[in-house]
Amino acid sequence: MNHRDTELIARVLVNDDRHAFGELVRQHQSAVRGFLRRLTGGQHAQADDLAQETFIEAYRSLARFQGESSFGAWLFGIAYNRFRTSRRRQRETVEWNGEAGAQGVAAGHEATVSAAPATVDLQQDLAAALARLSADEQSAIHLCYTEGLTHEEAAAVLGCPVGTVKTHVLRAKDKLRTHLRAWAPA
Amino acid sequence: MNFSNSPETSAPEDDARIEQLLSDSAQPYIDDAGFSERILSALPPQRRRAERRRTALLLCATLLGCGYVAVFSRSDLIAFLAAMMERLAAWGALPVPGLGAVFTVGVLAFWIMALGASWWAWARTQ
Repeated sequence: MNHRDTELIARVLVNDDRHAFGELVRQHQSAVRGFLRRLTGGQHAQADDLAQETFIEAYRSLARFQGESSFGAWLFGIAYNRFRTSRRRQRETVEWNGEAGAQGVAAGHEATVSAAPATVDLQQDLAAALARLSADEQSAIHLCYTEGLTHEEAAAVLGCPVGTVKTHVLRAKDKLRTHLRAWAPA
Repeated sequence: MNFSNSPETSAPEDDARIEQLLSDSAQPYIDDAGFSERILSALPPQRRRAERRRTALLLCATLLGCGYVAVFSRSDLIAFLAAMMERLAAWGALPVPGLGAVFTVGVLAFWIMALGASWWAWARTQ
């Protein structure tokens, strides 16, 4: 785990140092908010609300953080649970497939579009291809390749065995390979 | 960014390209824009107050305990208890020579521990 994170966590636990916790928030807020924006299909306000709940719960349960994974991965786990709870509360089903899902995921990816037309098209095709994945496959591929978590950390975030995460990743890559075949040379 | 159109082309190369594409599509940095301040303002009250209350209660309880011992050690409670133990010894139940001295030493040790606990509790508030 990041040495700086360890020091800040210790200060929060021992002295209830609010400055230290604020520093932890500043270091991890971008990653957590970005993760939740992807999960919510680009709904920034809802993602920020969930991110706020995530950090408050992290503060309350900081003593339970054992350090088996990185602090960032632990935050992703809380954020993912908050997202699932929110969905259950709203009694909505996220449209991971089809038009709505593609639009939502595309909204989450829009900031990555670069100026070159070919890159723009590729990013949009990637977004559409990701939208065709199942929720678990999307989460697994995002955590492992966009957020850079290990399979073990992703499994802890998603609350499933490591083997399941690896299966999701393999299936997701197979599907992406198929959907992006149009970019193959003629 | 090219992907194989042929099943014969090695999958690891495609995997590497897909992984690179996913990595490149990561969200750019999101500005804090007051987000951290909102989090800090929404946190529950600082635990330090509760900790000070606990320490103060511990200190009071320790001082009360010391006061109780001080009051009763001036009475003939020790002598009474020593006499009771000597009677037991006389009945052959327990060999307890010099029990009075042992008991006095024990009370002194308790005083020292109680004072030490009081000092420790006070030091924690500093």
